[in-house]
Amino acid sequence: MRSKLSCAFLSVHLRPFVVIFLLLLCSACAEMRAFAQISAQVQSQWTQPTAEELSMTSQPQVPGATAVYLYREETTDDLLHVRSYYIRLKVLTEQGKEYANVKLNYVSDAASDDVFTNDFGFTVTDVSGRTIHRDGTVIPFTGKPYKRVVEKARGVKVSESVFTLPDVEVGSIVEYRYKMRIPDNWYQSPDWYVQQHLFVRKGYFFWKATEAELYDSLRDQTTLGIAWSSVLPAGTQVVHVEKPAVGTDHAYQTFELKVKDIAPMPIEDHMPPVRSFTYRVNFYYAVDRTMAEFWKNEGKAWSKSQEKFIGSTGSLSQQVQSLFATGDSNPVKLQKIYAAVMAMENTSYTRRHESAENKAAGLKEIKSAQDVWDRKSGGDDQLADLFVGLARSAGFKAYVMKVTNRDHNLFFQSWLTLRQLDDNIAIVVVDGKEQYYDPGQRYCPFGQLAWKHTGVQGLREQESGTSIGNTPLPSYVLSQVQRIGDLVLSTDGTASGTMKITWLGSPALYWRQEGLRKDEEAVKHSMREWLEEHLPTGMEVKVTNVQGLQDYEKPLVANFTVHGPLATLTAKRLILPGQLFETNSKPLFPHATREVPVYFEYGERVIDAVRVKFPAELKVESVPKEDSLSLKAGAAYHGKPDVQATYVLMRRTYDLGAPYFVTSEYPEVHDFYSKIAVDDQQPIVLTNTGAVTTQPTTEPNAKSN
Amino acid sequence: MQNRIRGRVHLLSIACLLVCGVAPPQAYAGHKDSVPDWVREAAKEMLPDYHHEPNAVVLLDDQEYTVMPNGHLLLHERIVKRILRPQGRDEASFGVWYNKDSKVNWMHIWSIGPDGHEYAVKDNEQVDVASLTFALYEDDRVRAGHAPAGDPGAVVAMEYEEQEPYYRAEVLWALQGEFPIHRNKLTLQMLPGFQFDTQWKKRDPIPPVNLGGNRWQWEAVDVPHIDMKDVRLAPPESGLRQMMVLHYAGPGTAVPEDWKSIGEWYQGLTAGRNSATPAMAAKAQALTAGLTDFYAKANAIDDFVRGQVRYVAVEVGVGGYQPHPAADIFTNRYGDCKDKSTLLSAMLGAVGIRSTWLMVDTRRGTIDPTMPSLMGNHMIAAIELPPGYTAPGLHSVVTAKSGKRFLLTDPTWEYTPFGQIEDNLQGSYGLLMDGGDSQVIQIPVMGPELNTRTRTARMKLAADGSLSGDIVERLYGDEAASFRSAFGDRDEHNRSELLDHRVNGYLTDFTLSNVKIDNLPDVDKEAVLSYSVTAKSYAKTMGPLLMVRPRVLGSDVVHLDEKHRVYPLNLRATVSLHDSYDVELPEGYVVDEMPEPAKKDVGFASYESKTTVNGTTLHYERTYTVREIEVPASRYGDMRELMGVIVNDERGSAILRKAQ
Repeated sequence: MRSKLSCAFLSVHLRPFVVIFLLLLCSACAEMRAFAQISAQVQSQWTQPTAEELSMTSQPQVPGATAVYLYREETTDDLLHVRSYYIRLKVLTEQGKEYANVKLNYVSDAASDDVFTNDFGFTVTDVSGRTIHRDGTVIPFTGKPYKRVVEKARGVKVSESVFTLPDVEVGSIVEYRYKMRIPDNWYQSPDWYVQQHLFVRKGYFFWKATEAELYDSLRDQTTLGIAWSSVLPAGTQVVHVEKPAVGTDHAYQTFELKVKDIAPMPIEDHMPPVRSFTYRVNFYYAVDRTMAEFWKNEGKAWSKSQEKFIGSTGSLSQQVQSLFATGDSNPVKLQKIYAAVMAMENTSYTRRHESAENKAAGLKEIKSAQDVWDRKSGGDDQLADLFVGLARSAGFKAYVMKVTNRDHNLFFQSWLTLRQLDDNIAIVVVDGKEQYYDPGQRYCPFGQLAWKHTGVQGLREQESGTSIGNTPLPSYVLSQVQRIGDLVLSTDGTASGTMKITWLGSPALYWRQEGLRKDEEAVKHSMREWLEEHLPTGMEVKVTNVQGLQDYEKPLVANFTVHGPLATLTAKRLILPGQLFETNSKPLFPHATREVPVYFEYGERVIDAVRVKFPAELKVESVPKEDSLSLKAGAAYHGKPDVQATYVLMRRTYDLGAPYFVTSEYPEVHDFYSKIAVDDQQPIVLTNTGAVTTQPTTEPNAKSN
Repeated sequence: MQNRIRGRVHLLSIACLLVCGVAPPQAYAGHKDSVPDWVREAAKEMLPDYHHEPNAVVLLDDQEYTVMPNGHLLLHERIVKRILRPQGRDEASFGVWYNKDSKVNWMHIWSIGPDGHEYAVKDNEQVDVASLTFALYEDDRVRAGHAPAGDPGAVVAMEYEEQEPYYRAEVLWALQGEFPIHRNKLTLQMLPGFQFDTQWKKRDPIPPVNLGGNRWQWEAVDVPHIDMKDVRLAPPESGLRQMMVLHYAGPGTAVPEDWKSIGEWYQGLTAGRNSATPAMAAKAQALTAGLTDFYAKANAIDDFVRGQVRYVAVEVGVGGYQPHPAADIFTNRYGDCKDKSTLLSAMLGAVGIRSTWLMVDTRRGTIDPTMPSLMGNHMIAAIELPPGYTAPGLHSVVTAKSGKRFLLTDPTWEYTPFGQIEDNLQGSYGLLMDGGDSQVIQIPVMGPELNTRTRTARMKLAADGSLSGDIVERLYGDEAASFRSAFGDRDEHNRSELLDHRVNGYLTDFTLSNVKIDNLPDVDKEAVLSYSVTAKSYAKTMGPLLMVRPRVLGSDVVHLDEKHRVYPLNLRATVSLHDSYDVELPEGYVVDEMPEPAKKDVGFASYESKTTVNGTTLHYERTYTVREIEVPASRYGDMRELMGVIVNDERGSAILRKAQ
């Protein structure tokens, strides 16, 4: 008997917001009912459409849908080394006709490292198809797919086969099949992507898996059995059957999944990076007996490669000692190590050095932290590893952690692959407490993580072996934008003055890393455009200076001068935007309903203070009311005017404490941000007690040269 | 949705080929493993002071074309660039395009790092990738490589030799690009007895230097680059670019330097392809059964080709120009722009209506009447009108030199009504492919009355500042096309979200209901969007006063932030935009102050708005009209003034107070 490993994802410890999202996905289809048996369509070439399928004009669950999958079938037969695909798709609108175009991308040739095996590669065969009109007329596909090599480089060919179905009309059913074959001595476990961009009425997935003993070329081990992880609607599961050998027929096992009424993948503004959490089943020829064993063994191998790169403890002792002064405390020492690493070129933000460049400089390929130290240059992970190595050499306990970047994905422990992990960060024990550092993110402040590395999971080293760990989610106050304006208003409605913007934490890191990819002039240009977008149309902005673009431990400060039309004039009044920096902002969440949680990149505090001085003939008639708003799930707003005889000072503070809100909290979120938008648009009204001034012709602002 | 027709192409009539020998091209591939001297020399060039520092500068672009014995062209090109800014690092990547009808014989890449180190890229470090574009399938490929040490200060270079595809005896030479080109050279090596002719676009001709042995050279130094970064209302860069086209021919053969020769070439390429099959003819007859009017018959067939033939591009080799046979297109019900025009021609022909092809470019100004060439990225149809025929729907009509009139229609673009042409083609030139009558013609500019948006709102304001009522938008022409394109490709949920985004910013904390879209697929009619809206806090409370913006929705402002304008202003389309809003005031409130009316007419565009009070209703009305599609840079000041008027008007608010 072979061991079986089933990764029940709900039993896995996940970060709270990950769990929430998974539950959401499942609950969204909680009404899933047992469905009628779907017979595999392998017996007959095509399916006779039903009268309902022919006449249907919409799918009630997705009103206005451009197309819908009537049926998606994917079967894998290890014994034949072939995967078979069968699609039936109903075109519902003109735009839905696009789905009659089929593009298949695949690795067609990958050189094998093993002298005993031939190259790996897919071959597309047996393409057939037909179009069925609403009246039942059948138009067969008689052509052949066009094939071409998309990319060929360094032993790998990526190819593409394309075809399109004939005479497709709105109302047509498009039906096609194809097979993808791999060489005889290769096996590849399937991944079933159940949820698509279109609604799926029925789906059928089947794998006839080999019982043969396989060799995992990546792990250099013999496989023990088959494992799988899945994200599926409630009530849906993979059915596993083991078939004993009968007569001359070998034993085999089968995996089968039937699904029904699968909603399209959700797409909304401010949604979490959910690409790993759409409905799916990922199979593995497992070389481990349990999920825990997988991560343990993979972690061991990963850690081994990290340690090989970092080198033995103390190998960088001489280098690290050169950084310290007598009497430096441990935190100071670590900060100096960090500063030394931060000062090196991070090629992830400039460009990777070609091997020819290294060769010209008498350098070999970077193979160790020592190499990085010697050339004062490396990629983001290499620099993180160097930091760990230096810390260890200075006597700290230090570990590498590889995390999933949440700017595009979330870690899913049941998905048994290290491919989901992206960047290395560092964990150092300082005064008995583990602290997290991000030396691979150039200009990330000491003791902080880039936001994409915060609140995520990953694989980490520890005192003995590795484990799945979590990174901290920092306080929102570490990321701040302070916007200060000091303007003088004229009776003609124009204003001049200065502005000072200060960035801390994540927003500062954004600008600083922009400065690595571009020069300072380009950054200033972008900052000017950024500010112009926030101010009333026509205000001319010039950058006076930018301070601390590379000094990551200090706030980033940009000073501007501004000039231009600020107030709208009526016969008796001047009307000014109450919250100047929010003049052009729109409510973040205009939609009344929402399907998925709300997700922000990071929590932050935004503090505004704008003083507008005005001449004596102008008097304050009205200012926005002081208001405080709060969102119990973790956000707050406060706006307050300060009215004096010669000026109005408007203050505004916005705190976003939590970067995500579950869907059930959306009405509150929607209400909160709508109220902020209303408050931000309240004007300041001044009465002109003197002579009426002519309204100037507003000209859009001019670019500073 | 537009097709691309290949850019650089060559054709030489077989009849004019010399079978005698020709001197072989010079051997260039000598020192691929070390930086050649010509790269070092180029790196030493003194450069002018560029006002807006570009990301990179082309120190040398040296193209040499050799006409081979079989009439094909062999291109040998050297390019040297200096990277000036970190954001110019991408310029260290090079590539050479080719397809099944051409071949990259070799390609070498070098660089000199900022520190002076020299590098050569090995052949096995180059990659070969397919072109991934709009086409379902095409055979264009790129051989590419990346020069090491591509940091600011580095000099990067490429040299290659390519057997060019052989479609037409034509060479195009661009004298301007995104970056400054310090030294730009083109050399032509021809067989004895061969002749050439050049034509120029956007500049005076550069006289060639006769190098002897029928070898000619043109050189341009420091022609300003076209910097469209941050340019608002930017015209297409390819329409502004200085260019030269060169045609050549063998002894005793006229140089095919005019539009007519291109049309004749295309006639050969398409011969028989627009023939109708019996099935096609039967379909055309069925579509026009009972119709007697020319316009109605042509419209019926055009409607079929637009709606029932999917846009799918499959281009192999000369297939970038040559359409598939109409029979295949009809059977499969798919094809690209030239395929659709071909099928339209075949089906129209089956009911006795003659039509032909019109090669155009969606980037206005790219096709220039002074420079006959195959430049063009799109094909539409020209339907010959019966003499003296008129109909109300005929707008995109051109008259050829022969006196024949043609109705232009784009069977690829499904959103423009039959009888009109989409905005990005209006005012452009196109090549009418009509055999011996082939000629360049200018596509007419439609009047603003054919491109309209009328938005009306009947709203009610409450004393608490909330607003509710009904809004109706009626759109026609290209305004409707944008709407149809945006809303047509979405399910109801996404349409709802899109509509929320359209309203968001003008209203806060709003709810939309009763959303209805009429005539979405019927391009001959106005698209009508209607919905009800309720919005909290629309009017701002100022003590006892209420401030109300009479312009409930929408903005006509174009943000212009350049101090000095270099390039023409691309106004895109003539248009008439009209808003009419009524806001019923809350009981007990009267108007204390009203916004001033606005009026400005700068000739190519005008704007007028007025707010009035009718009893208890605040009425706002405005019209913005654009009458020209492009105006010169000298009118930039007028445009800024006009936008200033609109900005001020859009800021205008009425102040309400409680009646005494």
